[in-house]
Amino acid sequence: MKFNSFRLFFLCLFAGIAVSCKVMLIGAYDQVTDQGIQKIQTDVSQLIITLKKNLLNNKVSANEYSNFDKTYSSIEGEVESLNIRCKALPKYSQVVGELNALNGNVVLLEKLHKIDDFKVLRDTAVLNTTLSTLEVQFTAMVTLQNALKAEK
Amino acid sequence: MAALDLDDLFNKMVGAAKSSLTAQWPAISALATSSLKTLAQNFVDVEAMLAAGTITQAQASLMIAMQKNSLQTVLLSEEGLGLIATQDAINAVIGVVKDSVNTALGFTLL
Repeated sequence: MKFNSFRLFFLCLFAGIAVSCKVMLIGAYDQVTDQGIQKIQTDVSQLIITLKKNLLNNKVSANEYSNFDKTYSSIEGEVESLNIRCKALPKYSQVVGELNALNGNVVLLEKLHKIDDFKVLRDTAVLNTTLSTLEVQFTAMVTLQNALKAEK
Repeated sequence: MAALDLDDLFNKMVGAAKSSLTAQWPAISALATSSLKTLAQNFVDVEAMLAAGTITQAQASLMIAMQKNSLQTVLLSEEGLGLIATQDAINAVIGVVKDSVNTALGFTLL
């Protein structure tokens, strides 16, 4: 009798799981988040490539931080805005963490820019390394977004 | 100051990631290895620029901090990919049981 009750309990439990929706361990794909990440990626890449081109074209004065402070504010605002959205989405802690790390890197890039306006450098090595670092970061973020999209 | 060895650093980074994420490794190894290779190269480049005097210690610190943030992002993506792989496996098993039970009963119970 006890054994049958036990079996019945597990049968009902499993049936409940099977009947209910699919198991979700991570939040569902969100198109706004995906597009937001791609927009930030474009803006950050454009910023670094502009800085790099100025160095290559000997227009070092064009790289002064004051010419880019609004660009940084705009990018930081985009990241913050997306972060607020993702914090409200269920099971999105990984994406929120990614956005926090991205915000950290934009702030660090800004600090790096402020140190010497990138102009005392004789080559573009710092910018190449910086671009490579951010590419790894964005690739990781886009890979997760693509995987979430494939789950739809 | 000894120069960083790229292969040694890369192998240590992959080894640490692999042992921490053993169950998820098959699903994340492609992203992990390519990302860690680039970040290992960046660590070596920053160290070389600092040693050559191309950058100051303050600049090197900022650049290293950027590598850490990117590494954190890679690991978070890997965690997410691992969760997706696990959730796919769970849903596949549930789907098989559902089909088997319904077939055995001859009507749609689940």
